[in-house]
Amino acid sequence: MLVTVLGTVGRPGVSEVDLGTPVRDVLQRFGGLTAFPHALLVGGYFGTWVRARDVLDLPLSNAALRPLGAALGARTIAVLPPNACGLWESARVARYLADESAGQCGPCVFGVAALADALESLDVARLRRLAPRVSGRGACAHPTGATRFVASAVDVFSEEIERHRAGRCCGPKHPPVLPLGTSREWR
Amino acid sequence: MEMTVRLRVNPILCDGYGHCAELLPEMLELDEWGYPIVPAEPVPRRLVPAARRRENVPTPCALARREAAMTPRARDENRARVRRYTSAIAGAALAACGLFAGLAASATRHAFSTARTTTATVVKKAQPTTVQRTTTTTAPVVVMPTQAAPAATSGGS
Repeated sequence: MLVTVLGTVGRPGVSEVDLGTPVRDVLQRFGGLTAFPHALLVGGYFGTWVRARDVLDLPLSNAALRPLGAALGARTIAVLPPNACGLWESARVARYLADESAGQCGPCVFGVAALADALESLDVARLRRLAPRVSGRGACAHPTGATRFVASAVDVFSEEIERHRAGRCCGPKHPPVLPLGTSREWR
Repeated sequence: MEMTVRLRVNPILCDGYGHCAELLPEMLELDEWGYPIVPAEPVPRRLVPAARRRENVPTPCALARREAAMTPRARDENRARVRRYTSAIAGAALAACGLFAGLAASATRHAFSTARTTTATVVKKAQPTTVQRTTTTTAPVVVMPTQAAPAATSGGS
């Protein structure tokens, strides 16, 4: 299968790897890790954040990722640099997903925007309340995927949330890692 | 055969008016934005008549009932009924717009034609100038006196 890898690897890009290759070996094909990451985003923006120590030795397959709540999804792995802020990255992507709603279903238009708001304000209780009210309530899976992404960010970056509440961002100087589309300009 | 009746909402068509939750509060709850949260479990037997009442609301609403238990024919009929309602409402709206536009157009045309004729007559008898104005104030022709007056002065000079 074709896999896209971005983030803290030697040669980010697209490459063909066999299904079930250990994640560490997959990253080796992209020039290897240039720094030991804290977390990886597996499956694209509708995917799941997982802790690096949980996932690096697993084979890259749906069966192996399932216990972590992750899936191959878009076959994209984003390796978060250790000095970047996963929360900030997630909040950026959540806002992007909210803006990218096709605007057809109310629970998506209002729900994904509310998820982005809650993530930006680090309101974990509201995020947990919102998740079942947004997930699965669109005609397509956009709100479902966005909810999964945000929920995994809250799980994996729980320590960062505490740190942010104390007023310390973990990577304020780091440039954005996760690329966002330019659709807001043409729309 | 045991009929299981389930509720389903078309989230694209749903505009969040909340009619459904008013008709079936036992089953439907609205979220914080006003959209119904539809339970997956079947409608209890005692609530089935209430759920069917939905059919009598002639607003384009997204709640489709008992699709699971419907025969394809019944489903088509149901959809046709929804289409009829929506097209009837759209047709009525269009007709109203058309009527209004037509009325407005005819009104303006009428106003223009009367204005033109009055100015024409005014120009024709513009020779006795100042007397004219005093007579027009008493006359029943009160259509646009402000427009007729400058036309009369320009025609006179």
